[in-house]
Amino acid sequence: MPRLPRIRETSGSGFEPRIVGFVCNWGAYSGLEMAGIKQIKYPANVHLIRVMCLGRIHAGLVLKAFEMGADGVVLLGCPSGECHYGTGIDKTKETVGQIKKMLNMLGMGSKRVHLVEVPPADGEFAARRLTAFVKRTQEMGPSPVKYTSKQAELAHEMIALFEKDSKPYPAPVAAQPEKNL
Amino acid sequence: MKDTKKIIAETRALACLDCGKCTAVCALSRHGSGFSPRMLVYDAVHDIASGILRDHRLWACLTCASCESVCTSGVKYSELIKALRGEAHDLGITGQCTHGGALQALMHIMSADDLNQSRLDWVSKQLEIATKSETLFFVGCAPYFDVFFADLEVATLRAPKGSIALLNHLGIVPALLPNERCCGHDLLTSGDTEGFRKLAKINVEQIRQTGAKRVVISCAEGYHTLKSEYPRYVGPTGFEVVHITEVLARALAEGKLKFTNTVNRKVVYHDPCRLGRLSGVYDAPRAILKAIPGLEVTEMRFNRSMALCCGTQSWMNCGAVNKQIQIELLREARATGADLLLTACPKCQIHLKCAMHDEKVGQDIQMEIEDVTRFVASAVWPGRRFIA
Repeated sequence: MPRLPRIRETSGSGFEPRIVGFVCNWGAYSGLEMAGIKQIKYPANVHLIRVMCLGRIHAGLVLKAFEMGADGVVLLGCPSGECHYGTGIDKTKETVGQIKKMLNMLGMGSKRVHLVEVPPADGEFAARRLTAFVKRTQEMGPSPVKYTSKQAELAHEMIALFEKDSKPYPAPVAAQPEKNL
Repeated sequence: MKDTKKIIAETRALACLDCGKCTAVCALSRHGSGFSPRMLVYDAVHDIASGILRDHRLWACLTCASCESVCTSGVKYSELIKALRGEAHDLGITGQCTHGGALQALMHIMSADDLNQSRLDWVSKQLEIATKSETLFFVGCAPYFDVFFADLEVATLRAPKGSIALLNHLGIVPALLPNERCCGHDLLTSGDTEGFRKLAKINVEQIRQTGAKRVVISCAEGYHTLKSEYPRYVGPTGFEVVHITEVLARALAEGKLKFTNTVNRKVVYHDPCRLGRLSGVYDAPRAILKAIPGLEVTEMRFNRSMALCCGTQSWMNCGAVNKQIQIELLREARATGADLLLTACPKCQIHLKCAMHDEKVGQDIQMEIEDVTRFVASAVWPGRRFIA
């Protein structure tokens, strides 16, 4: 399976959890961009997916992440009452409650999914909570689930072929000295 | 991958006489979806392997087998659909999953080998269960449905609770699997035979380890899958599969089960496709209901092998046409004058309750729905809380 290049440092030695993070465009994502500007670090175990509102996240998306082998799913959204669309975060809270119950029943533990309410543009807070979640997932150990189907294998083969064919950017050509005419 | 020609031969699609009886009884065709079983068989036969696998109509079929029950040529229609879906699935084509694919993801998660579920929290002290027993009770997905469909106010766990209470009443202490998986019916029907086999193997292995000779199920889909599909896909299972209503009907005939409380109600029984047309269990639930004193059991205009489908299968169809089918069923049930609709399938309850939640439809389809086994349990012990 091809892996994305690791740009940032991961959590350190030992088990490296794979975490999917859904991030609200309005509050938390701009917060994390602020964190980037301020050069605040958080582990690269979290693969962030920006969505327009966490209200868009339903149980299917989170369970799909677990099906594909995620060790944890973190949702970064706005505090209640500060949702850009009014009620998005309240819907998410219901959904997260539902997912937690199902994860408990599956024996995977409800702590594998985590909802963080990030104060507007508070990158430092978001980074701190992400680091804490990565640590917590590390302590829980790897998820017992990793569903591989023929279709998924085919998709991975296709990605590998694509990466083999696509050429890296050509190296910049050094400027040639002008010839004397 | 099987040859499409072979599928057509095995399911007797070539025997089709083009008479159109199938389309005449098809619920989807009646509600103007443009779907026609006859056309689909025709296209499958004449346009072998190329077009049909990429046709969206392949995923619209409810596999309710209404067409099969009237076909004079014996075309195994639902088998044809399932096999063609399997071929399409191998090409990477799938239907549209409802509920954001959550239930499909759940099924795939459950096929993990070392899963340590805690799915028996609902078993109360009054219900006697064992770890090893001759009889095993297969619960099905009811614990998950009750969490996932909490907003519909369905209580699908009432069926297993009532079933275990009645089994205890007959002197049977069933074993339950603490790590039972989804039976895989929905994966099989949507063409994912690979995922289905994984689940089936785990379940069969677990049941064998308990040493059970008999598996009792209250869910219609689970019953059909364990009884008919498991032996076909994973070989002889070594246990007998019976529906809870069959157990109760036998006990009734032997005099072990007696009803003393009078229930003054008028009820109507709806045959789920998987229990009725696909498994042939029509009489057992009716026999039990008729033995309850004071209870009036009516029939819908379309009953037994002609029963209407609840309009959805395998969490793949949900649209205007499917809702119309559900509304038709509820109107038929209301027209009988009964005030309670009984069924044996948790999904019928979920889908019909969902149709009733539609504010645009109006009050004429509002009706109480209950699982048949749980209703029988409440007739034996009126007002008991452990089966509520």
